[in-house]
This record gives sequence, C-alpha cells and structure tokens, in this order.
Amino acid sequence: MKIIEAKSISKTYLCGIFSRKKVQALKSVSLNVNKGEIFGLLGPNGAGKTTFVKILLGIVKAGKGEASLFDVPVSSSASRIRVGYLSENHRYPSFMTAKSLLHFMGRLSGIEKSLRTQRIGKLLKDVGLADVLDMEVGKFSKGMLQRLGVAQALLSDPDLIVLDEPTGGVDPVGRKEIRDILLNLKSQGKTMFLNSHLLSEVEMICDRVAILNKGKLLKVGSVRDLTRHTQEYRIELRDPLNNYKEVLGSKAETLDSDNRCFRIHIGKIDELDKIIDELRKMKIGIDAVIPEKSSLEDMFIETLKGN
Amino acid sequence: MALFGLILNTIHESMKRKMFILFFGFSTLILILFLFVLNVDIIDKGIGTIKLIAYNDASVDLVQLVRTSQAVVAAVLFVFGILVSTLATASIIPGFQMPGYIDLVLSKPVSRPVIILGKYFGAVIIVGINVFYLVGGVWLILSAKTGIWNFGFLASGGTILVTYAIIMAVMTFLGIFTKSTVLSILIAYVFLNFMSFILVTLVKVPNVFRLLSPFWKKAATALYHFFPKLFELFAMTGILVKGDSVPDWSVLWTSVIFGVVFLGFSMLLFSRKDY
Repeated sequence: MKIIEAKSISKTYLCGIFSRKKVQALKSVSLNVNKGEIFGLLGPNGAGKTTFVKILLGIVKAGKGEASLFDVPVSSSASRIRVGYLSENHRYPSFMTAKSLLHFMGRLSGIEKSLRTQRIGKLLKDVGLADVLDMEVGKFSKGMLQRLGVAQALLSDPDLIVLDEPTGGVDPVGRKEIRDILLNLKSQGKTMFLNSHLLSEVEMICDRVAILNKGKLLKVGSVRDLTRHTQEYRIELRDPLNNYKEVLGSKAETLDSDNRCFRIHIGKIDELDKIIDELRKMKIGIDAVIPEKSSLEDMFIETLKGN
Repeated sequence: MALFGLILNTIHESMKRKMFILFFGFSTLILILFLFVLNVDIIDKGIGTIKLIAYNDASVDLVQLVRTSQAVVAAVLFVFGILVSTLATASIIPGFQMPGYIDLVLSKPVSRPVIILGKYFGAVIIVGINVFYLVGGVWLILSAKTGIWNFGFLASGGTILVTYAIIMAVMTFLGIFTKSTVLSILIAYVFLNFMSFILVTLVKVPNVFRLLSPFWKKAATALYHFFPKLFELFAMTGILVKGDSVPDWSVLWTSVIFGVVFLGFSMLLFSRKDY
C-alpha cells in the first residue's frame, strides 16, 4: 500500500521585488513511499527537500502535479489525520510549557482530553522530559526542544511520521536515543519519511532513499542497492598469493603486506566463479568473498558529481 | 475541538502579556473606586448624600450622576481600552506565523480558515472579557448602590467590543499579508481612525460637503459607506449610555460588514499562502 504518492510535483517560488524573480524549487518530482518503510530524502542545501515535505503536508501549495497521503489529496486537511511532523528548526512560543504545547497540538489533532493526558504523560517520559513538563519552552535547551518536537510529532499516534532533520543539534547520546525511538516505531509498522543531512544515520535506519538536487530527483532505491558496487569484491585468503595479478586479474590490488587480502574488479559475475575455481585448483584456502560496498556518502557525492 | 484549542491558546497567550495584566489591573482599580470610595445614600428614592473622595454635594441628580459616570467609563474604555487591546493583540497573528511554529500548526488536520477564526475569536474573547469585566462591574456596583439599572451602559460594552473586532479583522488581514506587528497597528488603528475622521467630516458636515465637487462628493460618500465609522460608533456608545434612541443603526451594520469582509479576505489569503 502506498502511504505517500507524489506525481510530477513542480514548484516555482516567486521572489524579489514585485515577485519578478522565479526560483524553481522542484522539477516534476514523482515519488512513492510504501507502508512500513523508512524513506530517506537526501540532497544538499537548497535541493528542494523541505519544499517537497511541505507540499506533502499542505504547508506549501504545489505549482503542478498531484500528491496524496493515504490516498487522500494533500489539499484536504483530512490527509493529515494520521500524520506526525517534526519540522527543521521548529520553534514554539516561549510562553508555552511542554504540557500546554502538547495539549494544544493534541487539540488540533482532535485527540480527546483523557487520551491526550495519558499520551502526553507517556511521551514526555519516553523522551526524558517528564520532570520539566511545566517549564516554559523558552527555557529549554536545543536538545530538549528536539525531544519535545519528537513528542509532539508522535502525539496523535500517527501511521506516517515525517521528520525534517530530526537529530539536528542533538548530542550523540540524544541522537542515538532518537534513532532508537525511530527504530522502535518502525518495528510497530509505522511509516517514516526522513529528511537528513546525516548520511551515516540515514544509512543506518532507512530502507529506501532518494537523492534530490536542484529540484530534480536523481536516484531512488534501497540503501543496499544504491551502496553496493557489484563489480568489486574483497577476497581474504588463508595462504599468501604472490602472483595475484595473474590469478585475480590485472586490476586486483593487495590490501595487506603479506598478500592474503585483495580487492578485485570483475566485468561479469562468471569471472568471480573462475577466480574461485582457480584458487581451489591451487589449493589456496578462501576465508571470505565479500561484495564491496561504498558508503551512502560516497554514493551521494558521486551522484551529485555525475549530475 | 481544534477551534476551541486555538481560541484557548490565544487567550492563554494574551494573558501572558503585560498590557492585558495592566488593563485588568486598571479595571480592578476603577471597580474598587466605585465599590468603596463612592458612597451614595438614598432617601425616598432620591439622593440623600453623595460622597466621592472629597466631593460632597446633595443637590446632584442621581440618574444624571449614574449616567455621567457610566459615560465617562465608556468613553475612556472606547478610546484607551481599544488602543490598549489593539496594541496587546497586534502581534498575535504575525507572531503565530513564526517560521518553525506555523509549519507544525499547518501540518495538523485543521483547515486554514478554522485556524484564522480560532486566533481571531481568541483575541476578541479576551478583549471581551476585559471590557465586560469593567463595564459589567461598574454597571453592577452603580446599579446596586443607586437602584438605577441602566442597560444602555451594558450595550455600550457591545459597541466597544464590535469596534475592536472590526479593527482586529483588519489587523488579521494585515498580519497575514505583511507579518508585521507595527504595520498592522499603523494601518488598522491609525489609518482607520484617520479615515473615519476625515470621511465623517467630509460627508456629515454640510458646510464641508458643499465645498466638494460632484465627483468628490460621490467618492467621499462611497468611501464613507465602505470604511468602518469609528467616530460615529464612539458617538453611538455615548447615546446608548444616555438611554437615547440611536438615530442611524446603519453606522453599526455597515462597519460590521467591513469587518466581516476583511475577516473573509484574511481566511482566503491565509488559505492560499505558502509557509
């Protein structure tokens, strides 16, 4: 089931005096997110990630194209009933306390008072803010505000959680706690849409990612597929192999000083079989044959360079 | 529930503002003045003695005294109460559009017109509470002390609130359009009062109207009917307190229509705006 469906979304902002300058933020972006997925949208600053998220949530109107959440067009406020959102650089009026803010957000989401009170208590405990529920948010640290943001996003027990830089400004411990919350939500079958600059984090928790640059969607796929280089393998041998160029091919390179560990480059998968057969004939023990993976960051930079 | 939440949130926000606390304190002071300082002795349904601080005069007409006191309160409230309320609530709409906060509110399953209505009525209700706290309190104290129950004074609270509501509708529109508190106050309060004064002078003072060319006569009349008539609403407040009949109710309803139209424009503008 598709939770998010975007078809050919385009958006142009009019800027400058008398709105004469046009900036195209999105160029015909089509994207789907399935139920239970954690989907990451990556891109450099100004790529159009936040605009895309805002269009999904009805905060910005799309110039062209259609988008829906749970099969309800995003132009309808009903599309947001099962959605929780944490925006980048979220701020709250300083006069509000954590409790009053969550009650306000809960009322906007149409949550009954008894259920709201129960959820607020639990959520503030989960995000470690139970002791400061009556403190004005103006006195909160950046990390506390981030936790409060996560709590308000989860208040309506949403089926889709949209997070824009959820770990921004949070220390490594807090980041891990937020990551654990997200993974816990995933185990509950929630769908998540994540905008993040922290590629290592996205790699850790996302099932699928998309790369957006200058408003154009460059790549969509599973993290596994996008980070795997099928033509590169790492081979670890039990015995040294000195004439490795003859056996493993001219592009092979040794990764250690005693010639037991190599990176090989092959054209087709059959070539790998032949190399393994050859090594067996030579009675050289094979400890491991591992497909080489580049990090998501490498892939991201390569994709942007290629564009 | 969302509308109620927005109204409650706006009231909560307003109650944290020093201006409203001052307004409330000032109102309480006036009520204490009328409650403890003004002493009236009634003998045979007439005035026996009346004492307000150092003033002691038994010859004052009781009805006139009550109505004059109420007229003074209504006039002060109309001028300063509306000004203070305007200053205290002008930042509600621009502040609400704070980046990072408005996104969260808009991401909730609430339609945009409901959000604007919630903020608008929240502001009107908190001002209404303040106005009727003072008007209702003074009315109750004076009526209980003198036995003269002037309902016209209570109605004057209504015209004060309606006048504020019209100004707030314009401030809501300007707050969405400019996101500026200063511009909202300047245009909604200063400009509307200025236009009201100019137009009533041009149209309602025969010697001035006579001087206008036919084109300007038509233009001034059209603008007079379009703009809210704040000066005449002030006069209407006085008439209501005195208990006289209002000569022209169109002053009220044309002004209300102006406010309703601006509130409608505000909802439309807010519904179309990107954040």
